[in-house]
Amino acid sequence: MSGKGVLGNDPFKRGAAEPKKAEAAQPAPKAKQLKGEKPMIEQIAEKIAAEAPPPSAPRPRPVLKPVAPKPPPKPEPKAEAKRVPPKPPPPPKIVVPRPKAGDGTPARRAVASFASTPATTPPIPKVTAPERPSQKLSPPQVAAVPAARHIPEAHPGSPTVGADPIPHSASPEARHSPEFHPGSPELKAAFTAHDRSPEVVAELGAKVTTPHAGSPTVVRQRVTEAAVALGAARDTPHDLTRPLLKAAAGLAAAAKAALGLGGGAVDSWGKDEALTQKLHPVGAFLYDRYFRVTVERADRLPTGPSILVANHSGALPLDGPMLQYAVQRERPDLAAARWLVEDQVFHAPVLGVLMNRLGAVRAHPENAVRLLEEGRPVIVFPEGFLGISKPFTQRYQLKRFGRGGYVKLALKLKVPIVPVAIVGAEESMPLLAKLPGGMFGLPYLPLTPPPLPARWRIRFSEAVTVEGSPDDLAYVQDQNDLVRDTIAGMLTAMLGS
Amino acid sequence: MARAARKLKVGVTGANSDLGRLLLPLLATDPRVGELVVFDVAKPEGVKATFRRVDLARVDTDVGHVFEQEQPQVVYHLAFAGTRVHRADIAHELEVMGSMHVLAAASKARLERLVLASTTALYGARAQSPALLGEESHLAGCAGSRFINDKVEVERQFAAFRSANPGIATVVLRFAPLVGPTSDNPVTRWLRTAVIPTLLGYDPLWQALHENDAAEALHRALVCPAGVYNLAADGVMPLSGLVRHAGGRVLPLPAPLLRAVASALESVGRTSVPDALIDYLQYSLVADVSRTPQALGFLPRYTMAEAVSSLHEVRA
Repeated sequence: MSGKGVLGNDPFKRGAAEPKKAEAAQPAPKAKQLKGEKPMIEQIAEKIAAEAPPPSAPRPRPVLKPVAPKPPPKPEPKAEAKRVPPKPPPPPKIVVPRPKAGDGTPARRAVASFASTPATTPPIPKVTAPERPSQKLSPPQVAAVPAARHIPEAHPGSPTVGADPIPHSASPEARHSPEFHPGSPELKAAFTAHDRSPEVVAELGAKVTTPHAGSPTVVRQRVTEAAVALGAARDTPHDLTRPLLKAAAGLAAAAKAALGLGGGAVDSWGKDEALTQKLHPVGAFLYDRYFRVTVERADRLPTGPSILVANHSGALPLDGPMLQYAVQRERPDLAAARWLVEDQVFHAPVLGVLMNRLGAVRAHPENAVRLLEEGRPVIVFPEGFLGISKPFTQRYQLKRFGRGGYVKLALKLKVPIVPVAIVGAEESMPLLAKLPGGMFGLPYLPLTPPPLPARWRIRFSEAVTVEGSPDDLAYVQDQNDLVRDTIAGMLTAMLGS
Repeated sequence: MARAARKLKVGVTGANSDLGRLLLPLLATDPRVGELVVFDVAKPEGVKATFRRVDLARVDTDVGHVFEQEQPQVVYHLAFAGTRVHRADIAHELEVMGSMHVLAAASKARLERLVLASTTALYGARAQSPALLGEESHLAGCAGSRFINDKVEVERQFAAFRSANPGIATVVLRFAPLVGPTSDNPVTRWLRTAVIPTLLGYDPLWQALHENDAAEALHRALVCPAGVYNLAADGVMPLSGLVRHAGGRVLPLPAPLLRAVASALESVGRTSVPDALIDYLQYSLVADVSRTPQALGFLPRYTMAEAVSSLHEVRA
């Protein structure tokens, strides 16, 4: 299995464009785990050494007794191996007994909420994506899933969830052994065993509490084994479940907000920062692994306020949030960008509220002025609603660019214009048909498959500085056409390559 | 020095309104105020003030005569229907015709200053509005709501009065919806119901203002530069957050159902949002309050969350 092992299927494979990010976002592959063994062992050894002196605290619990019935007086490694009813090879052993306790609810719940959200929210599309990986787990991973189920139980509400995409970065013990769960004797035994001498360990089942440093070699061996086992236990299920749970929570919050039940704090534009944070795992997944967004020449974005002019495409207005996210990712030095949304979307029920909470602002000259005065990059789609309501057969054919309001704005406020081309949205969300949507308060109901995993590319052009009078309509129209042509040219180039 | 020593004679119409009750004690204890005159149909309790009975809703109101007799320097015009009156014609007499009488009397009596309490709801919750509404924004009102549109008409009269009487400093304070333990207006009564029907799929942004901050702002208007000022507590909340802070629960309903429920509740006398005001449940209405603090020399003390939470104080 390659490095992309966890999700295992093609659509999720990260392109070569940003290998680094891909790594970071992906659960650490197993192979890597083995490679990284050494540091981890050392960490564990250290931890153990540190814990050895006061071993009495966690020990008194008689938990070990019932589950570890017959510790045969054999050499240590095997003793440990036998403690657990032998099923698969060593690594899973430690994990397997758990499922009974966990009963699998958390993970199931997560999936269930994933499945339920789509019905209500626009981000539905996103939903389908995270779901897939769990269904397509390769056999070994499936075997490990039970272990994943109880993990949330072990750390209810752990704030660190998902914070560490690379598992072995932190000492595993810190997370697992001390408070892993009162009810997991096996794991505990594996760890407490390290600081005991062979004899003592042999009697573990009889609840021996004598602290002992143990001979270095034995300890070392133990640590190695435990590390491998732990690695296996922690590896995939852990990394998959936590982000899934997080993503599910984020989507649920988004659904609530979109229906008008959110109630969170918002800024004066209506953006809900907390919700944005909660949805971050979903956004990162879409951006990194589902649409595999490639951003070209983000360095051309000027510092300070600017007007980003992009082509509008796809049946669902997903290009706004994705471009906003791209700017945030590629240019964290800039003020947070906002995108302007046409009325048809902004005042659409559910969708409009959600977009607003994520940072959309109604397209209105006064709003744009204020955003620019706040020093932000402002994303505009001059094609407006026409851009997203064209059929798939007309994909990437630019519609008229409105009345050039953005040019006037640039002239008035003396801010640069940056043409941007976005490719991928049309293939992700082809508009197949328009169904009547009057009863939902929409101009039409777009018939489109849930966003498909097409690869997205975003290319920034050189910033254009305009100078002149905003009242000179001919000049405004010229500049408007120039920007439009620039974007059309970029689209042609990108589609051709 | 001479100016500082001069004591103002201050008159208040509608002294028995929510704002009047809160404002009178502030004026009564202000050393700059020499005499306080109340123009109303009933004498407010507990405040030392001269009482002149004036009924603005009557055709033959003698407000002009009374103003000339009393010669106040400053008049606060607070005589408005705080609630939606089912006899809309009476509300219209009081608000539109009453204000007209007050303005006529004010110009005749050569007031120095006239202060009007208004509301940001007059901008109207509209799809076309920008995210922040400045004081210059058009007062679109709310189609079909006399409660709102009468007040828009009053503001129009004030604007005309201002240009016709440059010598009289007019101050218009547009307050965000007032909330507080003693306030009794359509918004507080609506927020005090346990389950609040809202529009499914919409969650517009709202502002609010604590009643004490509103009274304080009126008090400051005694000397502030003339002009129109929006005032709202710090912060903006989606409607769902507003309801949650008020201790209620939202019940999102599709628009047709919401209208049916609203009219049903209204016909049985339960407070609810009338049909005409459903716009405020659909579109955001956020006023730009950036220039107010400097003009009035104060910032609202209650944040929006605190202001709305203060509704609990009477709930229990």
